[in-house]
Formats: sequence, structure tokens, C-alpha cells
Amino acid sequence: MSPPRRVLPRLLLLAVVCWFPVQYRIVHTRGEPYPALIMPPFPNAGVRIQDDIAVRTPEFVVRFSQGAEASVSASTVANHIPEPARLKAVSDNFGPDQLHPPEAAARVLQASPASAVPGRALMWARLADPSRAFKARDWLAARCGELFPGRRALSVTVRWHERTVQPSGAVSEPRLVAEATIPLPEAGRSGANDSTRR
Amino acid sequence: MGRTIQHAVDRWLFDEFSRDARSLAIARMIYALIVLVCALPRWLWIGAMPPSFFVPPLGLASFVSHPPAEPFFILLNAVAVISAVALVFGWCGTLASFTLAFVLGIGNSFGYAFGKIDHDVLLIVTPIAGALAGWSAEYSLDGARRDHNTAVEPVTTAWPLALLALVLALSMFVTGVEKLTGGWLDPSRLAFRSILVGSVYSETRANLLGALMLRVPAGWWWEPFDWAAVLECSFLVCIWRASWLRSILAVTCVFHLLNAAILNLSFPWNLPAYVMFFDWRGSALDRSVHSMGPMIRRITNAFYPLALGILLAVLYVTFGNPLSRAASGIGLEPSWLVPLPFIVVAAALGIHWHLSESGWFVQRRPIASSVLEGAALSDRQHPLIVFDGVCGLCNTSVDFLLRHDRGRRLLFTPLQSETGVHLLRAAGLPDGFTESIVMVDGGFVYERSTAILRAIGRLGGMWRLASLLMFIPAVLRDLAYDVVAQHRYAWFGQRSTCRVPTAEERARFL
Repeated sequence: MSPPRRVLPRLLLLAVVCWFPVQYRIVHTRGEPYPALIMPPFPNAGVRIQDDIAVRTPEFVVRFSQGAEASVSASTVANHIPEPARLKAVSDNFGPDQLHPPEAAARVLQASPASAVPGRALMWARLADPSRAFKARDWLAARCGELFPGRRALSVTVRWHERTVQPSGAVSEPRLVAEATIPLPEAGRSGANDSTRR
Repeated sequence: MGRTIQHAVDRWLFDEFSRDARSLAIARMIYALIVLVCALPRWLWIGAMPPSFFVPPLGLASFVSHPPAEPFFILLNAVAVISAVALVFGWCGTLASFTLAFVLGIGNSFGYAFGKIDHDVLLIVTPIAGALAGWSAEYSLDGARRDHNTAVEPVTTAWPLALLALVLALSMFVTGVEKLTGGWLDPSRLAFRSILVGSVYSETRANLLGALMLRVPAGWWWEPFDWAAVLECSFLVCIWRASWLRSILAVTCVFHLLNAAILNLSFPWNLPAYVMFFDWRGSALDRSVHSMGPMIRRITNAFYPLALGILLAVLYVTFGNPLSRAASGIGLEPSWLVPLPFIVVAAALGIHWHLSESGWFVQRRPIASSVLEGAALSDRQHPLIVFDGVCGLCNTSVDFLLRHDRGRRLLFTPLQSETGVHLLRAAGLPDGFTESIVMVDGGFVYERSTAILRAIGRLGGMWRLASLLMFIPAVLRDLAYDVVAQHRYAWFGQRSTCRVPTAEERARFL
């Protein structure tokens, strides 16, 4: 290869090497961008050997007309979302901190950095919204319609249970840590031929 | 000093990762197949998501307040499928590579705007590096057109692969540093076990070994798992030599398989990048693709890949990925199950490559392609057995191979022939070498027990099982071989003249 044709590869090499410290800084100050040249970091060092590990899992309880209920897992509620994003989408939008009814949610969860980029401003606002679960009422209603065709869903109760896994491997009984009932809009209750069972 | 560093960097950038066109072409096909089988269609679910779920990360999607409508993603999927099919056939390879990278980048920007970023950036970087390296030059419609027009040998470029290696290494390194600075090596804490507990108890995905592992109580014996972070950091050192990189990639493939089995975390998107660094010449895959060469050369019309691409695009967009649907049908998570065969094969190949490179199980030496062409061996379908023409045992072995080689795959020549002497000299063996049978296959020269086992394996059918003996270390196998070889004349006789092939055998002898 003649020397002039070596210039571009060398410049690209330099660009890649210089980009990484910049990217590292962005990841730590602004969150992970996409695309980014990074693999899953798992920065959390875990718990001490002698400590219990707490695990929280959501449960969605759909209440139908005539009082019947059906419990569905987060994976089922969001099963059309591909796996890597499924549980994250559920925990981000129906997490214990997002279950405050709109009328009771006077405060935001965290300071929202200002951003001139519309999507970024939107992201900070939504992440800081304590009543985010209630903003997804229409979607929940549509999902109930798909999961329980022909049945009228009135509300969905989101419950978060916590279990602890001890160093020995023993697992405690689940403990309720958060709960909220999200009434579904009329559109979500339009199912016909309700055949609820208790 | 500065000049020495520049020379070293230039050697690394322009020479270290040079690959032949065939190996790159195999990597191209593997990439395209992984995309078609595991990655597409995607993003079609975005249309059904509520607006409140849209939380774009910094990137393209952050410039809009809501994702585009469904037709946009249907179009992206169609373009991606057609580009991937074009890459399988090597039709307009450069355009297809850049288009696929571009489409995946755009679509993923929106797909990962719902809370979780899947770390598949290598899926985007690999086709760019591949296109720049010349991965469409062989086993491709582009290559077939070039062959019709000129007789110029395909040229490949090494620096895109060097940059791909750097990107891969830095990505791994950054991840490893996050773990190390986060306290993964703190002996009083268990990071891996904490993740495993979360995986087993907070998720409902299939989990092969995770729950079983958690029966082991917390203790210092879990600590080695946390040290996997060191593996990620070591990438940065290992890219200095292509052979070191291949070794760590081989280990990483096994690591991915364990992750898939224990943590349900599979990284199929990394595999296409890994295969770019391996030498596929002479592999079963290379031989299979090579045997399809005449058929591919007949398809010089772009209509076939285009029609197939459009057909697949319609099927994918309308019905989804057939394998994913089948996995869902049997109640298993498609994103875990569909890539699993690729990861298992990658781990097996990784072990195989590692053992081959280390020389513990397969000892071989490369031979220049110009030498092979001079000996009429450019067609790698036909391995050549170079044997001692006056040895009774060797001639009996050749008779055995001739009798059972129904596919007439093997060629033969005595060590004492002009071709035999020429090849052995080119392979660096001394003049008058008669200590071992030699096999020339796929650009490499094999000796002793390895040559025997490979030759028997090439007979096909049940004879392939002989390859299992390759798992015995070469040192031990060759010890037994040498004992027999040293006494072969005394035990099995010696001819006074070199073997002359019969009229029937003449076509099989060089």
C-alpha cells in the first residue's frame, strides 16, 4: 500500500482511540448513548457474602366486571416487547416509584436536567414522573383486551413483591412492598359476552 | 523511538490481521445468516407501545418526541432483509453491507428507546469493517462477475479488521473497567451471584443451570466468577497479535455459552465479529461453499437474490421470523432459544480453533497457495496424501483409502515423486523426508497421526468418527505413530521400487 493510502486508516485509528475517553465521559454524565461502543457493564458489585439479596417482582391483577380477578406476570403483560427490553419496560413504567396516582403526585422523583433536545427533555420528564403507570392506562386496557378476549376489564392492580435470598440459598416468603390500582378507561371495558369466573 | 513505535503500529494496522478472501467470504455469509435467523424482523412492536414508554437515550431517537409510525419500521425491515439476503449471495456486497449497518443503526435507535439498550453494536460495526476489508470478493456474485471479466486475484485489506479488533477490545475493556472499578474483585462481595439471583428470581425466562447453581451457598468459591471481568480487560492486550485474539475469542465463545446456560444472557451479536478473525480455509464450511461454486457462478443474474430477498421480506413482515414463531409455539423464549445453536457451535468451534492454534491436538504448517497451484492442487476439494512409495504399510494404507474413498476425494503421490519432493520442500520439510505420511489439505500440511486421522475422516460416512481420536493429544498419538513408523519396513516389508499406479488408479495419482 502506498503511503498516501495509509493516511485514512491511521486517522481512523486515532479517531477510535480518542473517541473512547469521550464516550466514557458521556456514559457517566449523560447516560449510555446509542449507538455506543460498549458491552453490558454490570457496574454493581453485588452484596456482601453474608448479606441477603432482595429481589422484587411485579404482578398484574386484572379485575373484571362482576368482581372476578386474574393474575398475570409482567412477561405476559408485555410479551410483544422483545425479551431484552420487556422487564425493563415494565419496571421502568410500573415500578414502585411510578405507582402514585396523578392527583397525589405533587412532586417529581428527581431533578430533571434541562435539555434543548426534545427527546432528552421528554426522557427526563418521564423518568421523573411518579404517576407514570397511570399514563399507560390505554395500553393496559388494550393488552387486557388481547389477553382476555371477550371479557370486560375494569382495572389493573400492580403489586410489587419482595423476596430475600439468604446466603444459604434459602428464599423468604414474598412480602408486598407497593401496590396501586389503575382504573382502565371505558374503551378498555368494551369487551362483549363477559364470562368472568371467580 | 518514535519511528519504532510507528513501525510497530503500522505493522499491526496494515499486516497483522490480513485474511484471505475465502475466510472473509465465509464470515460474510455467517454474519448475514445470523442477522436473518436471529435478528430480523425487529422494531415492529414499537407501533403498539404507549407514548409514555418512549424514553430515548442520547442518539438519533432523542431528536424526536415520539417514534415513527409502523410503516416506517416495515420499510426498515424489508430493506434489512433484502440487504442480508444480498450479503449471503455477495450481490452488491459493499452497498448491502453499508445499507444493513445503516438500517440497523436507525431502527435500533428507536427500538432501544423504551428503557433497555441491547449491546449489539458489533452487529453494526462488523459489516462496515467487512465491506472495507473486501468480504464480497469471493463466493459471491460480485466475485463471479469479476472472474468473468478479469483474471485478477481478489484483494483484501487488513486495516478494517485491525480497527474492528480495536473496537471490540475497547468495548470489552471499558466494560471490564466498569466492573473492576465497581468492586467486582472485592473478595467480600459477590457480584456474579447477585446478578444470578436477580436472573433466577425476578425473571421468568428459561434458565438451564442458574437455579441449580444457586443451591451452592454464598462463599468465597463464587469469587472466581467475578474475575471474568479480567477476561474482558485482557482483550486490549490480546489484539496485539491475531493469534492471541483468536485464542481469547475462543475462550470467550465458551464464556458466552456458559452465560446463556446460567444467566440467560446470550450475545449472538458478537459472534459475527469474532468469525472475522478466523481462518476458514480448508474447513468443512469452506469445502461445502466451494462445492457450490459452479452453481453460484451460474446465478450471475441479480434477479434471484432480489426475488428471494423480497419474498423473505414479505414473509418476515407478515408472519414474523419462522424460527421465533416455532420457539414461541413450544413455549420457549425465542430471543434465548433461536441464537442458542449458534452459541453452542461457536463454543465448539472456539475450543477446536484454540486447540488447533495451540498445537496440542492438531499440528499443521501452512503452505503457499502458489505452490499448490503449481502442483495442480488449487482446487481444495481434493486433499493430497503424500506417502512413502516403497513402504509396505503405506501402500496397504493407500489401497485401503482408495477402496473406501467412494467420493474419489483423495489424491495421492509418493514422497519420492517430483510433486512429493516439491511439496515437502515448500512445506519446510527436509529433503529425503520419509518419517511420516503427509496430508496437504486446505492450504495446510499435516503429518503423522493427524494426517492419518484426517485422511480417514475425509472418506465420509461412519469413517468421520475417526476424527474423534483427534481429541487425544497429538504428542501421545504421534508417540504411537513413531514407534510403528520406525519399524514399518521390518514389520510390514519394503518394496524395491516405488509404487507405480495402475491404469485405474492413474487419475487419482499426481
